[in-house]
Amino acid sequence: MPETEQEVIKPQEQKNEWLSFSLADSSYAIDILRVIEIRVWEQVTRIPDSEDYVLGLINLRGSIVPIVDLRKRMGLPAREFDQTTVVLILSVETPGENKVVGMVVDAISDVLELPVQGHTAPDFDLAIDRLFVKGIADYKDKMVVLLDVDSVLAIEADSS
Amino acid sequence: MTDPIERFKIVFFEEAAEAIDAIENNLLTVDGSEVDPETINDIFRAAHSLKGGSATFGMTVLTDFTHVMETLLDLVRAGSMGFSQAIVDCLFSSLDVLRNLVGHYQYDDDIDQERANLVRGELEKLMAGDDASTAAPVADMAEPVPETAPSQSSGWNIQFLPHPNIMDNGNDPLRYLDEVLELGQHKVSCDISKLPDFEALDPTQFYLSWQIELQPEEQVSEEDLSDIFMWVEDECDLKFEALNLEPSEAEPAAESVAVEVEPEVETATPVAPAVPPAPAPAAQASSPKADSKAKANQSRASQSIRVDLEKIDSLINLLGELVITQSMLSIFGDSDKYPQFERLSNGLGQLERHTRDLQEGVMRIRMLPISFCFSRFPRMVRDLSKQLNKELVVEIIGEHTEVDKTVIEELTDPLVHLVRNSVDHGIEMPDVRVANGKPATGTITLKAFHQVGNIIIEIADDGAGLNTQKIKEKAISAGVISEHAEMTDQEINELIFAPGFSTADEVTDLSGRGVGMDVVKRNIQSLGGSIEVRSEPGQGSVFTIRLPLTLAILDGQLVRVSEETYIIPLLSIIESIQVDKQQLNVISDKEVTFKWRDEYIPLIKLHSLFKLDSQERWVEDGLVVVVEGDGKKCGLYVDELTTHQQVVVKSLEANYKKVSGISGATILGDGSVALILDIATLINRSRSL
Repeated sequence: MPETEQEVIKPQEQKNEWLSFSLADSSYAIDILRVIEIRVWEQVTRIPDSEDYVLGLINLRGSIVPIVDLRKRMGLPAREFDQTTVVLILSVETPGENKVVGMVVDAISDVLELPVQGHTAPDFDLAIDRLFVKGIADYKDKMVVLLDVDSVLAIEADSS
Repeated sequence: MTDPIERFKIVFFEEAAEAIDAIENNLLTVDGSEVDPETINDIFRAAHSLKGGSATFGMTVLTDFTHVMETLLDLVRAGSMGFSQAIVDCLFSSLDVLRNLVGHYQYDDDIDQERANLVRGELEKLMAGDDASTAAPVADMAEPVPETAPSQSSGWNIQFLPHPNIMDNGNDPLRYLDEVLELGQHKVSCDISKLPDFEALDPTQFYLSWQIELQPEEQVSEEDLSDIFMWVEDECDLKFEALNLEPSEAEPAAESVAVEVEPEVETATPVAPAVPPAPAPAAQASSPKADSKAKANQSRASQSIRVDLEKIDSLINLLGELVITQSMLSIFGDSDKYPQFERLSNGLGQLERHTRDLQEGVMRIRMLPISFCFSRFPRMVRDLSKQLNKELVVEIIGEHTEVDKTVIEELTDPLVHLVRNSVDHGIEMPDVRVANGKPATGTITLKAFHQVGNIIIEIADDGAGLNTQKIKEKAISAGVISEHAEMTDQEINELIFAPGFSTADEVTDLSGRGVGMDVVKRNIQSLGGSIEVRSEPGQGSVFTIRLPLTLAILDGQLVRVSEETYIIPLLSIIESIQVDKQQLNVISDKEVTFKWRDEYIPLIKLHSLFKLDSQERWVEDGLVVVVEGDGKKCGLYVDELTTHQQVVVKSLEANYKKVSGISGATILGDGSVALILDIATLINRSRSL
């Protein structure tokens, strides 16, 4: 653990790395430590009775991993998958265990270094579910929405 | 898991469970007062290691209890106490207490103090009852021991004077003594002058001390010696005196005396204050045998290792990947297409064979003999038969038949229920049996064997058999069947698996716990198996369970529906047919049922059920697979039957959630994911729609 480093650096100077990606003309970012790998889009196996934003299942070196379409998940208009479309394989913390879930985004952009503190929680409507948003950050004079991976990719058990 | 103590504790709990089971198995072989000294030795060893381990972890209640057990066993082992049925019964009760105590330390279960005290009292009573008569000879016998110690020798003169409280921490002074004696030739004398009269003897106190003259084979420093006693140095007085080395002279004498003395020391240990003269040679004779047995056990233990199931599962995963890679490569092995790669295709052929062997080998790691499950039944039946005043023996056949660990775990509960049922309802009271010309002792037979990729388990009893008339009456009154139903006896017997059915006249402690045969059947079906019953009035009944060998691999038929591939478990397929338009019954523009072998069975179109296609498909374009699940049939409409293969079952829940109608997923040869259909749920779902 880099504890010694943290002792030297003052809290306001501590930085975390975020992976930013674009989705419907906006920039979003997720905690880079959650990213297991980045894959190109591949055909999935559809799941009966799944939520519309769950596209299906892929084989990730022997484990079965569900893939979520982030546009559909956030209620944004659909877009044809193309060459820049990528699947981010993320680790999702759920009570009791960790799951591996893939998330389709339009394109990945950059790795951002953002201070640990000081992300203002938006007090205005971002047009997406507020639960998904951890905060917003300013990066090179553009707004980046920081997403909460765990709530975006939470898979609810069937109520029935 | 990071705390090493915690890790050791886990190992101890596992070993404790094994030790208790070992004692139980040994006790079961004991019949009446006839007992093989080795059996007693085995039981003693198990109890002893339990005591030592629990003391190490400060589980004092467990240590104290096992100590009493051990003391009793040691008396028996030394032959100073006759073995009797009372002891066996008492030891059985002790095992229950031990399980409770281990559970207390492992899972924070409540201690059943009342029972523990009761059993402990019984144990002590047994000891006291026998000791009184044999206490007197002890002194006479042990007296000569100190006299056999000559004062002159070479090497070390060691005085080992344990404090009275040395055993409080579970230390066995004999162990340290043995360790010293291993160093070389020796003369030992035991001082029993402090040993009180039996009435005054406190079994938790230590009264003996030793003087050892050691002539080590190799150079031994004082430090080496004190290292041996390191664990008890606070609980004893030690004195080491160097003697002049005169090996040539002292050797033969030391040898002869040592042989004489050693057994005395062993039998005169504090846990065995009573040593009558006669049985001593017997104990002596049995000890080398016990040693060789211990060695045999040791080598057997070293042949197996404990492996976390997760590690094996990840191995299986990896192997699945290997199979996929191999099948990807196999297209280059086509020698007609690529004649220039002959050696490659040879190599690929070999790779395929090795992969298959490897897969079989890895799968076998998960397999355990069914005895893990069967071994509990002799004890259970013994207890039940006592409770019911019935006479019973259990016969086990094929306990080495291997089956997947998960199957064993899931199978145990249904089997317990079936055996209980057989004991409770199947086997008659002894007098009834004799009146019917049968031996008074009933037999319950547990049998396991392999049959074409399945394991068959039979639970047979030679009791009264199912009472077909009573079942029918009960079924009618419970509304399961109508009064005028025409049924064969076999069909009526099968009704015992219907939900909410129990034929016991009265609710006994054994059955009537709210779990019926329907639950047994459901459990077995959820394992992908089936159960049936055959019964002969007056001759007994046989329950036959058929299960797949493993849950990790499934024999499946691949079917294509729209663009997706699904897997239908081969066990549930009856046949695949092309349905004629005339056989279809169309209701409001939808094909709902068809006639198959004089039955109307519902048709499930996976396209529309799984919303794969927007347009309705028509049956004449495809095939119908007739499947059966949960006793109901239906036709699954598919586009195409592709291959039949064994697939590795993977859970959807690991990263997703349970999906109704799907039992799991697998990875096909091309690396894509295919879902495995859960036929019973699909049928029930289509019926409830």
